[in-house]
Formats: sequence, structure tokens, C-alpha cells
Amino acid sequence: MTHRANSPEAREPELITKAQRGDRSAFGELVRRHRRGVINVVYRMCGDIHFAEDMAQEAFLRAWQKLASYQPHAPFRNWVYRIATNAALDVLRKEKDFINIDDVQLAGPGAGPEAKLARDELGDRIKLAILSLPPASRAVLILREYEALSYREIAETLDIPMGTVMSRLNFARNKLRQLLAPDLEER
Amino acid sequence: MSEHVNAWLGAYYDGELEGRRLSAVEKHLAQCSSCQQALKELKEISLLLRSSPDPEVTLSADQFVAQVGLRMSRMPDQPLWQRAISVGWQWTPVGILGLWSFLQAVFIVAGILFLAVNLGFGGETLASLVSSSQTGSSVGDLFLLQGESVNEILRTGLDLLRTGGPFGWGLFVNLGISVALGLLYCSWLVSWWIRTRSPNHSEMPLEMNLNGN
Repeated sequence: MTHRANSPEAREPELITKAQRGDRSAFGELVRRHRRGVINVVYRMCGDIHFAEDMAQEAFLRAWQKLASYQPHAPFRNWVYRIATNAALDVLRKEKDFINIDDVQLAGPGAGPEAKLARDELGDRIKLAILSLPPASRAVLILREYEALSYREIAETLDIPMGTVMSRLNFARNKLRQLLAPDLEER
Repeated sequence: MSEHVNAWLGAYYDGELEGRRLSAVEKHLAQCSSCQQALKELKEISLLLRSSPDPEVTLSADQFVAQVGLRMSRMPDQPLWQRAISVGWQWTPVGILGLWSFLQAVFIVAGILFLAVNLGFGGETLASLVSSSQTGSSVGDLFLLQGESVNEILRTGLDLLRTGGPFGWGLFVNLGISVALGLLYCSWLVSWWIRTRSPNHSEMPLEMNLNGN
């Protein structure tokens, strides 16, 4: 019965309420639903799929621990994004050399799970351009362009003013326009 | 022509502008080819970014969920007030038993005290204490305390001790208190049993729902 109640069709608020009471199965369904989005956000932040998966797991563990403090006025997805993004930003601030652009560039065919992505040269250039942005601007850009969060949601997720969201997004887009100018001309 | 609106173009493209600001940007765009070009480039960069594929994950959904499940604590952390209630709940039987033991000790001591006085033991101090409690005289003086209210409190306390002994109608008071505490303890036991029957309590499965059905 518990399994049926926590099926993929179950409504998210019900799953959250159950998980807040300690229902691990309900929380597992929430993890299943938002896993991909959280991994994508962290991956775009750091460019390493293994790190992204580890960090996404860490984000869900933190979410489980803090679940009692979750207020349903914001979507659960944005709340987990907030945890994941802050965790990734913490790592990027502490380990400034975490992203080695040269390593990313050298990742070629046969380099493992990223081999297919590495073969996509345009994908690589976009990835490198995003990784060259300052982490704070990168986070805003990723949440807007890839997760389609509104400015207000981004402001709440990153705990910054709306004006800062707009200025960081403008900065990131202008910078990318310069970095990806050859690709833009080809289109 | 009004000033260029480059600073607002991103928000305009994202549909985040409204009211007078939106009207102003639209009005300017209609007559400024430079800003039109900037908006076009903005759209192109956005489309280019979105053409980048999602990464290929190394863990399947089941593996990912299972790994998170293995590292999860049994229960989410509770807020401080919930933890305080939880601890209070767990210690309730001990509190009831402690209260009952304390009252029994008080009744027994009181019984022995007044039995000793009635039999002539304990000397003048004990006799005067009991006597003052019975007569309402200045018991507070014994403890270097002043005032009618202090005397009243002490006298009432000693009266209770006297009547609560095992040799007076205090026996019934004792019995009543014991029954009340016993009922309280039984209520706690029933609540505890109901809680343990709850599917979200300790009976919940430790593993995650891997199949999602």
C-alpha cells in the first residue's frame, strides 16, 4: 500500500508530507523525480559528471536532514537546487583549482562516460565557455537557461536580490557572446 | 530617440518586465536597430546554450536512489521544539513514576513524623512545628521568615502532610493520587501502542522504493 501511495503518479505535496514524517520510500520517489535536474545543474557548474552525481547525492542527503524545515511556499525542486548550488559553490570557492580548463579540453574520445559529449565540439566549447564564467554568474545563468527558473525563483534559490540576478545574467550573457562569437556567426 | 535599453534587454527577452518598463523597452525597440540587433544576439546565444545536450549520467535512476538511501539517516532531523517534545514524550513514564515515588515518600515521612509526635518522640522543636501548624501561629519565625503569607503557606503545607499520612483520611488522598497517576501511565501506554502501529513509525522499511511502484 505504501508503495502504491508513493507511485510516480503520487502528488508531490503528499510525498513531501510523508517524507517529512520519516517515510523513506516517499523521499526516494522525490529523489527519483528531481535527480536529473540536480545532476544537470551541478554538472553545468563544475563540468565533471562524477562530481555532479556525488554532489547531487550529497544535496539530497542534506535535503533529507533538513526536510522538517522545508516550507512548501517554494517548489521542492527549487529548494533542492538551492542546496545543491550552494554546496557546489562552496566547493568551487574552497578549491579554486577544481576546474582545470585544460583537462576539460583534453577529454577526448574513449575518455569514459563523457566520450560522446567530448566528441561534440560545439558542446565542448559551450561547456568551456560556461566554466570560464565566475561561479556566481554561472549559477544564475544555468538556473535561467537550463532550468528555466524565473528571476524571482533564482533570487530565492541563491538568496540574492532580483537586481543582482539581472546584472549577473547580463554579465554572463555578454561574456558568452564574446567567447562564442565564432559559433554565433556560423549559425 | 530615447536611451538604449541594453540593461533591460535580458529581462525583456526572459519575459520578466511588466508595466511602464515593458512599454518603454518595446517603444524603444520599435525604433532602434542597434537594440534590435542586441536582442537578436541575445536570442541566438540563448538558443546556442540550450543546444548543448544534458550530460550522460553514469548511475541509473535505481542506482542513484539506492545510493542515496544507503547514506540516509533513519529519520530527518527534527526542529529543536519537536526534539524537546519527543524527548519529553519518551521520559513521560519515568516522570510519572518519579512523581509517584516522591509523593509516596512524602506521605510516609509525614506519617512517621506525626506518629513520632503523637508518641512523644522528637523533642520540643518538632512538637512546636506541628503545634504551630495546627494553631496557625508564627511558623515562619522558626525559619526566620516574616509575614502572614509565609506563615499561611507553611501551615497549609504541614496540614497537608499531617492529613496525608497513612493513618488518616490522607490514605484516600494517597490512593486517589496513585490511581490518577496510574491512569496517566496507562494513557501513555495506549498512545505509545498507537504510535508504534503507525506505518510511518519504526515499522517503515529501511530500503528505498527502487521500482517506484
